[in-house]
Amino acid sequence: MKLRISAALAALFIAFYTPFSYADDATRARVVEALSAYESVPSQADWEKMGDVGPELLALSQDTAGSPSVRSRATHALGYFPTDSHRDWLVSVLSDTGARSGLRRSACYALANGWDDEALPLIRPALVAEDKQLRNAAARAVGGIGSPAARAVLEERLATEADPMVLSTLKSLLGR
Amino acid sequence: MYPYSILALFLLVLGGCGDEGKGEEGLVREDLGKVTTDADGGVTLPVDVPEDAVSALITCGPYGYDVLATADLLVDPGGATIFDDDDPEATAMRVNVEDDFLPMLMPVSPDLDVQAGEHQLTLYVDSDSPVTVSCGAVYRVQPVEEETTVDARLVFVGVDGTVDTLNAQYAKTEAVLTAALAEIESVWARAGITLGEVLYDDFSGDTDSYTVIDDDKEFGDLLRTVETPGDRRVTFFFVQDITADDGATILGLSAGPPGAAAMGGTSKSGVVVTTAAWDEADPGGFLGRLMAHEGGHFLGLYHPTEKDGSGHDPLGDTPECSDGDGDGQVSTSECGSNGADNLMWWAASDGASDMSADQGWVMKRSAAAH
Repeated sequence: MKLRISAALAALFIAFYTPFSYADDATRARVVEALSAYESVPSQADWEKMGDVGPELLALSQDTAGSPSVRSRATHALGYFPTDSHRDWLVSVLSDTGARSGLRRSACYALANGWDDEALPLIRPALVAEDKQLRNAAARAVGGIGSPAARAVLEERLATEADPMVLSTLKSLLGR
Repeated sequence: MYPYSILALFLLVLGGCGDEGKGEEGLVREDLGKVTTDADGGVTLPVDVPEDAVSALITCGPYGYDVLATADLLVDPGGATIFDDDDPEATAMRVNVEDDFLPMLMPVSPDLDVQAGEHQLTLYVDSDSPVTVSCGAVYRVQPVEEETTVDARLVFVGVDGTVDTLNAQYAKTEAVLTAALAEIESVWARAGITLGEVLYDDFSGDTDSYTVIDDDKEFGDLLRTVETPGDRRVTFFFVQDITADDGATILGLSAGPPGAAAMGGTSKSGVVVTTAAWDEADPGGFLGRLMAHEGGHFLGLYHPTEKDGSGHDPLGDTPECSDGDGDGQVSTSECGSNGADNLMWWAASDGASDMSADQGWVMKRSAAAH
């Protein structure tokens, strides 16, 4: 019996599950265009004017076959739509060592922008990542939070960071 | 000093003769001296454009990244105002507001060709205290040909291994980059521009600091590494990322417009593109249009309509579009064939690769073209 229920649930899951979905073509086109400017990116206010496009951004962020730049920018913009599912997705991107460095950096900034101090434990692993550009971005993202707790995280990292570039960023963020 | 200056100018004009216009041949450089702004931030200087000039690139700087400057007023030899910052689109001349180093190009439209004779430029530097800057000019005196060539230099800054084997040695045969260069050729050909010699270099400076460009100073300092004197080509730096203040990715940035063409050692001496635009699924198409677009800015082109609909380029044959639905953004769907299909449209799309005759007219007059 248990097996039959499991099989039925699995069939239902397969029937209705899609890895990502778009609300409608017009909304998707609007979001993709906003993410396709050569020299600019939408601000938080710009995103708020577009309404709740979080689901479209999540779909674009998860679309591994899509344009890498749109994907990276969509990932970053999820920080302006701070839901639990977005946070979980961003954490998974940040921890994916096989992903492009730029995508992981975008996830890092998104977490800082969307969750402030709550993001500190989520970003902390990036501060010790092998990729120095990711460490540097993590330091900047934490610095952007600007709280006493964020400052304490930077102080802690300053004591152990060895790379001159990241050290320089940490010192600059701490006003030293 | 005077006879030596004449001799130096003569040698500058002669330099590179016989090199098919690629070097200093066809350019005249003039040191306009140092000027100091008054208490209101303004200073006026004369700029005497030679008789045979087809373009004049006037520059002033450096004044640092915390200070902005523009032209307050530019008056032609006949006394007509050809640029007024209070009404910047009143004429077919444009001058940007720039940090650190200000390039000003005449002409940026066939509707207002460069004139020989003494212009009066009033520079405005937004600073609480007087600022002293060095000004100069690069006059292109080489006649404009129907077919014009623009050479390029590609400089790789900490991108090797990030999206592919991407360094000076292997980039020449790298599939995405090779396709991107073919895309530039194809797009620029519509404006009568041929992509000429392409040089490949690995960045020899502090790679770590410039692999991800985090602020205006890093951007400018990277462009400043273009060697002095700059030769007549567009230098494209490939970096991993350019980040906005909130950490979002910017795909590419050109100095200007216009860039400091044929000038090295300035914060406006090139173009930066990111490997975020590297798309194996669209080999070369997107990256090529990005490079062609930013290169277009460097050579003096503006967006036909700005993203928010607030401004337009000074060209008569590029359509203008307005924000029909009032959402604060002129979109591709609103503007379709009304500018959104042009290479210089503000957003990338598959169809945005048209070029107009006027755009070609401007690019062909750049000091970087020959």
